[in-house]
Amino acid sequence: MDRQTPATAFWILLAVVLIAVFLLVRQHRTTRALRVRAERAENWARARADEERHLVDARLPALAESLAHRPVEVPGARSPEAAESHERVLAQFADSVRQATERGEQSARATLKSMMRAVQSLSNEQQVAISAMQERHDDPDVLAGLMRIDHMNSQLNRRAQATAVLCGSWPGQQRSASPLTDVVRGATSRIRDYLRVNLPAESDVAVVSRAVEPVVLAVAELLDNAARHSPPNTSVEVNFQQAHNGMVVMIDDGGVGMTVEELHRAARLLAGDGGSDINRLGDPPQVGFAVIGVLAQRYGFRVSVDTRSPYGGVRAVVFLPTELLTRVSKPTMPDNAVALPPTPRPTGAVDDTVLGRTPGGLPRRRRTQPADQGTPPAPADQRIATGLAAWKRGTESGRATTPPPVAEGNTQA
Amino acid sequence: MASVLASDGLTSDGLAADGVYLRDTVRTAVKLLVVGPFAVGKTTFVGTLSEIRPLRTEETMTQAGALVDDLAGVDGKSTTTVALDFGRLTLSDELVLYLFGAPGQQRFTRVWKDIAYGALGALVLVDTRRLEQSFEVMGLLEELRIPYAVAVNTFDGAPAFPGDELRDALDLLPGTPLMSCDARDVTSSTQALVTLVEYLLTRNQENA
Amino acid sequence: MSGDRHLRGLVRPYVVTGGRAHASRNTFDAVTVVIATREQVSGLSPEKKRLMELCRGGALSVAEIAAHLSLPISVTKVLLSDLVDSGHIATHAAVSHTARPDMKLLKDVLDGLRARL
Repeated sequence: MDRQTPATAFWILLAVVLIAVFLLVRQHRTTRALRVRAERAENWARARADEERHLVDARLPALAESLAHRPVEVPGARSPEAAESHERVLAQFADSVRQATERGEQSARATLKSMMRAVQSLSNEQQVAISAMQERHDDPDVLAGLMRIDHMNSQLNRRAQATAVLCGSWPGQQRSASPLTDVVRGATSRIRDYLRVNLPAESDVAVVSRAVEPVVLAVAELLDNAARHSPPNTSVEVNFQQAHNGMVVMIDDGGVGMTVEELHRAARLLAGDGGSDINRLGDPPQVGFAVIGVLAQRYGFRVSVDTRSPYGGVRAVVFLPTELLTRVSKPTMPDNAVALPPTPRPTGAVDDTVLGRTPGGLPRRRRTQPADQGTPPAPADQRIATGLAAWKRGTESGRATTPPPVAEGNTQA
Repeated sequence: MASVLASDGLTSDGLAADGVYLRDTVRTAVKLLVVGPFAVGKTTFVGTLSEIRPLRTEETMTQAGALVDDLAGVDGKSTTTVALDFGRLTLSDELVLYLFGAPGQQRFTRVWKDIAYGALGALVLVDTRRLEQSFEVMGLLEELRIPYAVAVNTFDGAPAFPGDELRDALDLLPGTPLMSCDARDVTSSTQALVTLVEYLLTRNQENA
Repeated sequence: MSGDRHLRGLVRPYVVTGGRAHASRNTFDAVTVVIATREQVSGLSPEKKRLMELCRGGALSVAEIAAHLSLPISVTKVLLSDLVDSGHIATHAAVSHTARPDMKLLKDVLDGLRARL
């Protein structure tokens, strides 16, 4: 029993030791594995934190910039496996920014379009009024003033029209088919330096109705560009050239031309690329090429500005395909006898001259002054002046005069 | 429209065939005014007597015209401005008479001055249904000392008034001719001008 | 309706006259009669060419020319003055502007009118 006791103790001890060793080893293994996992987790967490910081500090701002059409490159993830979910975040962010921008743009366009409509409408009304006055007034001084106003109004209208085009409004069918010469002259009407534009001999080609206004607008923008970017003492030369399947209008200026960068931008805009985005026109907005690009794409003509002018500056080339052209035909007699639509006539103004009524109910007037005075007529200018003065007098006396009782009775009857 | 009614489409041959041009022998041009309010018959009167198709320097423009979108369609109202309409009568190889129809409410405009300047006289057209609308232009003629005769355009349905009452209402001088006239009828319209010129002659003789 | 009316809105009067409102001469009245005196029209503006083409057929008054060309009378006068200066047209007959028309003129007018009755 005693002998057995140490042996038993030994075995027990050994077993304990073995178990302890086993446990220790296992423990050690576990600890090591845990340490590795902990380390890995720590690294992972650091990487994610890093990546998140990268997302917030660099990637999102860059994306926002690039969505605002600035030339910024969005950096990629530092450790792609840590940024898996970030791609979705970025995509969602981009999406919602795009949608918000689009909504904003749309509503800005709609607002601007309707504002431009109002401006155009007023400007058109003004042109009608100016035309009416030019028709009615024979005094050169008045005509000179009217011409200046007319000229300013035409430029104003062009600006409004160009803005409207960028907002998605189309000039459309407002004019009958017109000779190309008049289309170009119409374009010169709308720029400030119209007197510097030299026109070629008349062409017998005409532009079809639907393209008249768009081509006028496009050519006006090119002429304006040409005149603006060349010395004021130089002329802007316009030439027509028959082409294989259309007609070419060339506009040459004597300016300094465009840089490579400007040419690239112009080419992009003239191709109708991004022209209708009113947010990308810069400040101050460069509208001309964008407008031309949008119009050219919509109505089917082509414009380029990449040729050097023989005068040193830019040669703008407008190509009008045969589909947009027609021939000028000659009627033998202009139809000037247009039926008169009834116009309402203000009636209030004549009341001053009515002095009661005759027994039969006719309104009564009073002679302004004896017609038979035997004096020769005064010079025309004075006659108008006395007419005005007398009108005033007549109005005053007309107002002051008490109608005769009989007439009064009749008026009431 | 396939072709253009071109601006340069006036061919003189075509116009000559229409009798547009004056005789080469014409040396003197005289003018008479035909005045009165809107729609009193001036255009008809000039048209009835004129040997050329009555011309009118008139502008009809569609106000909203330049606003029309492809999609929106034409919804513009039009504004019409009448400057003047006129006709021509060749009275002899050497003499041509121009008739200028001018609305009365343009009294302060220079075109009035221009056409009234040198006019021999004026025929005032009145409509008895709205007599007062002729008052303004009559006053203007008196200011300008342009002698005139008054013609009542006979409209269907317009009430007839005794001449005395009309003279009274219009406050005419005893010598001023007052007649009725059918602006659609050549004889009646010519007679109105004859009466006017007879009056101008008498007046001239008296004042000579 | 004539195409002229549309063209008129297209090419504004200041372009037609090259920015000038004052005629080089003030001898024109609405009924001044003019005739073309030269065939050659090269180098003239489209409106002046049209005017010459119109006047080639015979004598016309200023007002008639303005109406045929659908131009305001004032603008027509500027063009006509230029054309007189360049020898393209001449004044043929002018309106009698005497303060008191002479008896003969009135009698001629009366005779002419009576002859139509």
